[in-house]
This record gives sequence, structure tokens and C-alpha cells, in this order.
Amino acid sequence: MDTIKRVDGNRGRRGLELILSAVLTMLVFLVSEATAQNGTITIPNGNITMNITTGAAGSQPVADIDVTGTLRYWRKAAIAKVTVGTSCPTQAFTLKVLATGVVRGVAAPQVTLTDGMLAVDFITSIPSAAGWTSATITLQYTASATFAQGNSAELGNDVHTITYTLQVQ
Amino acid sequence: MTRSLTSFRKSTALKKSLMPLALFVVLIAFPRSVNAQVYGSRTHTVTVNVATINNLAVSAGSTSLTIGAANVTAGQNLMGPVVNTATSLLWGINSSLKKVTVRTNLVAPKFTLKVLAVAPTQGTASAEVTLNTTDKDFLINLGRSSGTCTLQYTGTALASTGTGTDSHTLTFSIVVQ
Repeated sequence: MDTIKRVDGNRGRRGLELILSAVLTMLVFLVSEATAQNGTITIPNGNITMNITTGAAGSQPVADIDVTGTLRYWRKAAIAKVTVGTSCPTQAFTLKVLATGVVRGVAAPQVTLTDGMLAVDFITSIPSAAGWTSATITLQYTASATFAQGNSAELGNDVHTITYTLQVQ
Repeated sequence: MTRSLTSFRKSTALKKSLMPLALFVVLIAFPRSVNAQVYGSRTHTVTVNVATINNLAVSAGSTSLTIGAANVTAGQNLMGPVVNTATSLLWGINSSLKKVTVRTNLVAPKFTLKVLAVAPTQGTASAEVTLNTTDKDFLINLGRSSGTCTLQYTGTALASTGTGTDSHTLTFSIVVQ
């Protein structure tokens, strides 16, 4: 009779341990997620529209360059980098992006944004050493089209959903 | 035998009591490893709008043809032809199927002026056009393209018409085919 009671007691203790473990795990996860969301990467100026309106005969339409967009990223415990990728299922024209005004890290060469592309390096070697909290850079977008690529009235606009990711390098 | 069985039970009990701890460690380590790879992502949209652009240009503002004594054959009323290929037509079109037409503003020319598109880089040249005030096809089947062709002007005159100067202002237009 005593033996049976002892076994039941062990089961109860193990159950309590399991519940405690699960609760602690959830707490740790929630805290770490909250930390990741506060101070990782932001795009303060929101969405951008670019217009190509002129072009010389015998040449090509004049590209539109936009520098109103910015990207802000925060210092992390490890050396980090920012990657960029896009989704634009009906892409007809050309869009490129370049990081300018980069002080924390090294800007990659201009990236041509193509629908379905794998994320590629945009800013690398973002330092982890103290002395700074966050950095803001300018997103320089260049939209171009050839006459052969057509126009939006016939093909529709290109709408790129562009993703910037801050990650360990 | 009894001692051995007890030892086995203790070992099993120990393993069972360590299981939650192991689970705890694994579950804590997993999200940390995920966060170690990616700190965060943000998206925004960039919309690219391309206007309809249909442009034409001529390489030079004016050209002239002179029919002189050298273009006269004794005994023939027809003088010439005189040909000029010094200028070209350039275009940029980002719309689907278009054509280029040509006309002159000179209502009653004394002499005959014709124009032909030579070696177009895109599209098809129409037959040589005798210029009058009605738009006539000059280049057809021009899709979305940027290109050029040589403007070949040919002037002729009849000796019986006498001397003089015709001054044409030509208009090339891009229209739907």
C-alpha cells in the first residue's frame, strides 16, 4: 500500500515539473521575441512610388531615382548583416537598390531586385562593438525600363514587396 | 538479484526525472538559436509606374536638294533625280503595334519630292512616298522599340516647270496601326 502511494507521488511531481518547464519555456520565448522586435530593423518612411515619364527617341526612357526611403537597424551582440529580397510576380521593369550613407557596416554593390530572388547581402560587417545603438541609411532606388519593356497602361505597375532582414553574419 | 533490480529501478527513475529538465533545456535553446540567426525583418512596397512614351526625332532640322545643270539630260523634260541621305529618323515607342506616317505642309509643290525609310532597325519600310498633305504610311509594324532609319529624299523636276524653290515642312507621326 505504501509502495503504491510513493509511485503516485512521483508521477505528481513529474507532472508538476513538466508544467513548470513548459511555463518557463514560454516565458523565455516571449521575452526573447519581445527583445527581437524592439530594436532590430525598421523602414521609417514607408512605401514608395516611382515614375518613368520621359524618354529620348533613339535612346531609352530616363530612369527614375528615389532617395526618400530610409532603413534603420540596431547594434547586436554579434557582427550582423542586412539582406534584401523582393516579390513582384508580374515584374516587367527593372528596379535596383543601393545603400548609401552607410557608417555602421559596409554597403554591398547595387542590387538588382528580381521577383523570387534569394535574399542577397545589402549591408555587411555591421559591428557589434559598443559605441553606437542604431544606424540609419538611405535606400537609393533606381527604376528603369527600355522601350521594348513597354508601359504600365498596357502591362500594369510593378509592385515590389521588398524585405530587409537583419541577421547574424 | 534483488539489489540489481533495485538499482535498475533507481536508474530508470533518475532518467525519468531528468527528462523534463532535458526538455526544458532543448525548448529554451531552440528559440535562442533561431534569434541568433535572424534578428528581424521588415518589408515595404515600391511601385514602379512607366508612362506611355512615344517619341520621334529627326537627326537634323533641315536638309536641301538642288537640281542643277548636272542633273539635266539633253532632250529630256525630267531633271534629276537628286538624292539626299544626310538625315535620319529616330524613335522610341513603348506601346504595342504602331506605325509612322509622313506628310508635307506644302499644298501645291512645283517639283516632286519623295521620301523612303532606308534600313530601319525595327519594323518595315513602306514603299517610297510621294509627299503631299495627306498622311501616308512611312514605317509599319513598329512594336515596342527604340530605333532609327535613314531618310532618303529624292527630288525631281520637269524642265517645263521652270525654276524655283519648294520649301516643305514634313511631319512624321506615330499612330496606331
